[in-house]
Amino acid sequence: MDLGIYISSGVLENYVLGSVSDQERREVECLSSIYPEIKEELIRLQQTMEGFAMANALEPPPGLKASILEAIDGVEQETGREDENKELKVIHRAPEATGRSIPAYWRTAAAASIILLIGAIFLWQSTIGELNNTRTQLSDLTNSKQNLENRIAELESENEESEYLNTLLADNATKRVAMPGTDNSPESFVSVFWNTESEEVFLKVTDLPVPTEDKQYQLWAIVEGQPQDMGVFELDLASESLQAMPYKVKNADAFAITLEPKGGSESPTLSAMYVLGNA
Amino acid sequence: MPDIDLLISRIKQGEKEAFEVLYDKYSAALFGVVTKIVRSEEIGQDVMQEAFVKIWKKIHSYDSSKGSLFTWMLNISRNTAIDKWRKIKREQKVEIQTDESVVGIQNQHTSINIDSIGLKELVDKLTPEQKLVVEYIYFNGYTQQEVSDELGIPLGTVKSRVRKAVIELRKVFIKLLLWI
Repeated sequence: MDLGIYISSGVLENYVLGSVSDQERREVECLSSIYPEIKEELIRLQQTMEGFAMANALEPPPGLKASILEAIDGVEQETGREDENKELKVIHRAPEATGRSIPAYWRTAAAASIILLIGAIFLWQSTIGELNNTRTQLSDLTNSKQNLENRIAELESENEESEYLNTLLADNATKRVAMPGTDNSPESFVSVFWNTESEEVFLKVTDLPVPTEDKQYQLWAIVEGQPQDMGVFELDLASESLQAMPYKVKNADAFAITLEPKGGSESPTLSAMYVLGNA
Repeated sequence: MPDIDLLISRIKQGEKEAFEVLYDKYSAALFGVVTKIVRSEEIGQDVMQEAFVKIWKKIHSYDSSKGSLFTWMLNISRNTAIDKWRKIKREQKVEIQTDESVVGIQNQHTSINIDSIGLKELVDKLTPEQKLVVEYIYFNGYTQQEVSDELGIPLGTVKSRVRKAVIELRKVFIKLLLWI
């Protein structure tokens, strides 16, 4: 890929000033995580704008600090969601008694911290009677936690797109890579399921335009900045199942799909890229 | 910068003192940008409060791989200010339409002023077209397409003007980086 052209196109400057479309923004973020040259340029541009802001600095009135510190009093920080790089958990959220929906991870964590709390109390007990009492409480809570975990596991298996998909997702080594559409084809969306242990790659096409007779889609893995051929595939939008790709990959940073002449090409036609996603 | 990382992790644990340090370090730079956007120090203070509360709330969503904390805070502050400014303009429009005595309404400076970019060094270096584009985008939150429509110039021209403008900004501010 010609990075020089990308860098001089002005898209990075616009990203930094906040004037890019959602697509451009995703593209910049994805490419900068793959190519260090782009990331470096981006950082330099951000520093430029930081300098610009510093140069236009205006000391706020002294009362503002106190009113801000007061304003954050009692404001809860929003803690992170599940890490999106971990394998996809096919979980239905259990219906909540209250309005707020809490991720399963946090419920288990909450149960676990109750266990820990009870355990700490346990240490402070002196009489056997109290000790036995606490032991019972502990085992009750452990049971509840176990029940919660069982329920989560139940719900997980209840949601099946296909048995094969479920097995794949249950495998700890599987990474799901979402590939949204590029500017060429913003509606497109494809998911790659990559088993990092067996190095096998599977595709699930959600949306890709039907190609002409003489063309075929080709999947590429980006490894250390270089595209690696992962094979061509036929579009079968009617089928709900996954397609297995003929080649394996060990260390992909990202995946992309381009439209090539039938049979595929040796290297990707970048102007015909339809979807792109970070691993 | 390992100090910043420590500061961030302390803030993530809910430590107010660490948050104070953040305020002391960056409030002036942020206030400057914010005030320019909303054209009023008073409203600027409201925006600052809103922005800092957001920063406190969303600190866990800060991703250091996408850029520095200051840039992240800048973007939150700028976006809050731009939203506020747009709200004010909308309410002004309604006021002008419904109020019979138009005379008494304060002019909130709805026109784009290219000289408000400030700083003597820049006035020479940026062309008027470049200043205009930066003013529209950075201080008024226009997208490239909106600038292209508003000024009647091609999208590619907007892109390259922004690039040239930022290149010039870089020449001026490269020295300031040592002081951050």
